[in-house]
Amino acid sequence: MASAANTNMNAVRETMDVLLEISRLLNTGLDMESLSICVRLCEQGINPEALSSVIKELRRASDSLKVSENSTSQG
Amino acid sequence: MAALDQKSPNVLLQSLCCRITGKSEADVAHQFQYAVRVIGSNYAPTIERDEFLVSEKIKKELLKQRREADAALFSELHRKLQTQGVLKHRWSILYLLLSLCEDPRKPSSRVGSYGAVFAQALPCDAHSTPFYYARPQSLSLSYPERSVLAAHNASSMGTSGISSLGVYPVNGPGPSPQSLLTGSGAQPVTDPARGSRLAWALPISGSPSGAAPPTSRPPVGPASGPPARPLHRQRRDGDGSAEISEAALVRDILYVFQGIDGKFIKMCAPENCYKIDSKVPLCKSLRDTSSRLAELGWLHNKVRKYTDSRSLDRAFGLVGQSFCASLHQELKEYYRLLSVLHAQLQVEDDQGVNVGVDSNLTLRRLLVWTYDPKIRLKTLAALVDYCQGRKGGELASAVHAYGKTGDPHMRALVQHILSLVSHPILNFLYRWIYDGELEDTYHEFFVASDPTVKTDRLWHDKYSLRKSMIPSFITMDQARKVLLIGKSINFLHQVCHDRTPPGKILPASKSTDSPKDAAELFTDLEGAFQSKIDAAYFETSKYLLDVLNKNYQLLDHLQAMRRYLLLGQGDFIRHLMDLLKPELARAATTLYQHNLTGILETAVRATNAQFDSPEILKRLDVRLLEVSPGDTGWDVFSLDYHVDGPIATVFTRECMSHYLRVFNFLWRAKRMEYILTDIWKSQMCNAKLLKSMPELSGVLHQCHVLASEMVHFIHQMQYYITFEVLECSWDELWNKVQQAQDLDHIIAAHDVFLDTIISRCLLDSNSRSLLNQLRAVFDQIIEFQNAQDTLYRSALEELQLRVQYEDNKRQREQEGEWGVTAEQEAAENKRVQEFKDTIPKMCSQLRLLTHFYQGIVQEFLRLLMTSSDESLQFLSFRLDFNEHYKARDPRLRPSLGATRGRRSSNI
Repeated sequence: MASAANTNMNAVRETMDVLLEISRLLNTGLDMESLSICVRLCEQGINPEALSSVIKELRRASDSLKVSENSTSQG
Repeated sequence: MAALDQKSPNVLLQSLCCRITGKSEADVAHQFQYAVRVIGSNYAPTIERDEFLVSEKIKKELLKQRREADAALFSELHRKLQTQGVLKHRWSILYLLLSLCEDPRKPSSRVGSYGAVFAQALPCDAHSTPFYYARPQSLSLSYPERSVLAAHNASSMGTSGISSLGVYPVNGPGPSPQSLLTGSGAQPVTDPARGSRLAWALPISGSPSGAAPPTSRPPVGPASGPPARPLHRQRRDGDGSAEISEAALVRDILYVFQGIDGKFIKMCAPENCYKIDSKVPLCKSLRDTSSRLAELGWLHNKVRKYTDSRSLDRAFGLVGQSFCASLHQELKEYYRLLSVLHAQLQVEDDQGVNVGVDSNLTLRRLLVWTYDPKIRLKTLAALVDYCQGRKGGELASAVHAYGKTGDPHMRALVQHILSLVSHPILNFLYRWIYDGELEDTYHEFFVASDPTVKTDRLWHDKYSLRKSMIPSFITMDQARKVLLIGKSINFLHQVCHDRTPPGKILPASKSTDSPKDAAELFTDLEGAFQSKIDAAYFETSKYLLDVLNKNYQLLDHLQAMRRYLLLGQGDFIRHLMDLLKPELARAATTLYQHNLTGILETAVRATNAQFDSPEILKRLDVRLLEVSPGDTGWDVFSLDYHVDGPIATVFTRECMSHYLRVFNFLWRAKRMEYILTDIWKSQMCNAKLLKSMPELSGVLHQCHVLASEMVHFIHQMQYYITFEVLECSWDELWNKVQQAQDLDHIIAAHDVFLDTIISRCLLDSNSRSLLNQLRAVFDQIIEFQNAQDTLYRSALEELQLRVQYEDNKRQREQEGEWGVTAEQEAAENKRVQEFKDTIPKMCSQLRLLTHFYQGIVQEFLRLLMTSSDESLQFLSFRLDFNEHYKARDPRLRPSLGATRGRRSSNI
């Protein structure tokens, strides 16, 4: 039982490694944790199209925040 | 993983948000909400779920980037992934990675596809489906300032070669706190053209704060950017460097759409339209196109101006407010479209327009996309024009008139506005027909109330229809019913003091449906609204009639009127006349009301009237009309019937005065009958007595003939009045009252009844001459009575003297003396002779009377025949049944023929 769980964990880890590699190849900018969250969301049947757009927007928002922070701190 | 799988998507999303923005949960609440919304609204993917296709796409993408080795590596990894089989939705995660793929060298490949998606989506967005606007590609989270966005986009693309070009040396390179492009290796800046493009594009966006620094990630600009960007732009923009570029025009137009003057396109006040400055060099087609587009701005301004001016005007009322609200709603959708367009423009600015001409905003494209909104705005503007200065129901009518169009889109639009506009009207209506309350501060509802009217005139005068405020989708009939329902409820409350809650009057029809649902009722075809009103109408009216009949004995009072004021109770009237005769023969000034009231009570107690309910009898009273000099009691006596409370609504003051007039007429006619009866009685009594005076027989015969003539006349008149006038009308009235559905029906029937009686009894102004003749006939009858009385008096006196004379004679003969002395006989003869001498005088007086009388009757007959009322013509036939008068008066003959001829010609 424990070994089965173990092999399962191994398989999962391997899968995640592969996905991380692909993500790196494609230059998606996702780190391990974000990627694993995304994978879980996708596994729950979320529309990847929408998810990708959300991620982009989130990045955009955080960037703009940072930029404005920078500019205010400099000004 | 299995355990983690149980986490809900929301939790995962939230941690994702935190992770990417690098902030705590509390700070990302806004972004999280957005993410949930986007995910929720785009649940079904628009792409096909094919792992193979996705993987091929990824490979192609890598090949495009000239990374063949990476492509091979990906194939290997993908194969591995397939063999492991841990994931169920492999295609999904692959697709996600693909779409997040950042090609450092060709950053805008994605943007191109956005443009395409946007372009596809927009035409349908132009309708009002707000959710489409939430398409993630075209929305930024918080609409940051354009400059900031531009800067950040430039950085996120990883094309920050700008700093190396020294365009923004101010901020200088600094370490980026964010590592967006974790995977991207350092790549040398090899794209000066790109840098120059950005340098060109940023100032155009008009934002000096665009000086925000591009982050100093290692420059990753790929070698092959689009060549010579400025050249490309210029070529697209058109011809000649002096002219304004189309992009600038597009930007201008977008401002004009919101009613803001652009750089080139400005509001031209005298001509009231948007115009391009004529000095600006521009080719004709662009000028035309932009003028056409600018119309949208003009329309927007028009609608906007209306709502702005009206929303502050409180007196504009609820209907107007909801009209403004609906206009606002439409404008909001229009603004949504504008924001989408703006976002698109920003994307273009940020990304550069290197994706090709296909996906850019151009004037022509705008023309197509704004086609539908323009039609909508046009409709709204026309509506606004048409509704200028209207309010309340009038406004609803105006909107409704615009709904009668064949264009389904326009109809739907107007229908929507109408449902909002009619909502307050419906609220008024339900308050009114279910509670009887009128909460119409701004006089918008079609029922008006006059607060100055007292409760006794409530039914007749208090409430009225405001004709102009009846919406055109409510028929006049419905409006009247609505008025009647509320009026009935108010009548019950205020006049009948009936405190039954309205819910009990309308047990079933106080329905639960909200006004929102009911807003559809106005326009439905099944007539649910009609049936609703009908139900309320029937219930309320029935309840009102029940209350009036049960608690206030309306019908009993009606019958009492018939019996007492219209002399229906024969025994009572006759007895009353008997009792009153000595009183009324006196001068009118010597009459006292209390004496008469006592006599009235005696008459009631002696006849069948005593069995009437005390409620009715106590209302019965005597009234003395105004006395003019020379009047006898007969002229001023009148019966009266007191009415008050709810009953007075039916028996109004005018009604009662009508009743009094009719009563006077009937009373007079009745008195004639009574007089003639007296005349006949005295004739019968005296006939035997006066047989002994043969010299009188001629005179008496004359009297008998005249009396029977009069009796015939009066009998026919009475017959006519009783049967043809009163009974017929009464029967009609009674039927109508039994079938009446509401109080108005009863009142109307009653009015008709009174009018008929008045006109048939010759009391209206048309038959004044007839009535005068009739009065003259009555006067002749009274004169005849007086003449005959004096005749009989003198004859009986004479008779008595003669009898006395004979008695004296006989007595003396018995005493053995001479019966008469010579002087006595001479005196007797002389007296007899004197008496005989008076006979011709009496004769001539009677002849004169007869002559007058017949003249009057003939005139009366002539008037009867020429009258248009058929029953009056029949009366004339009956009065002259043996053509006695016709034979005497030649005028009766031709007129008869004339009427016949006229009648046949009428037919």
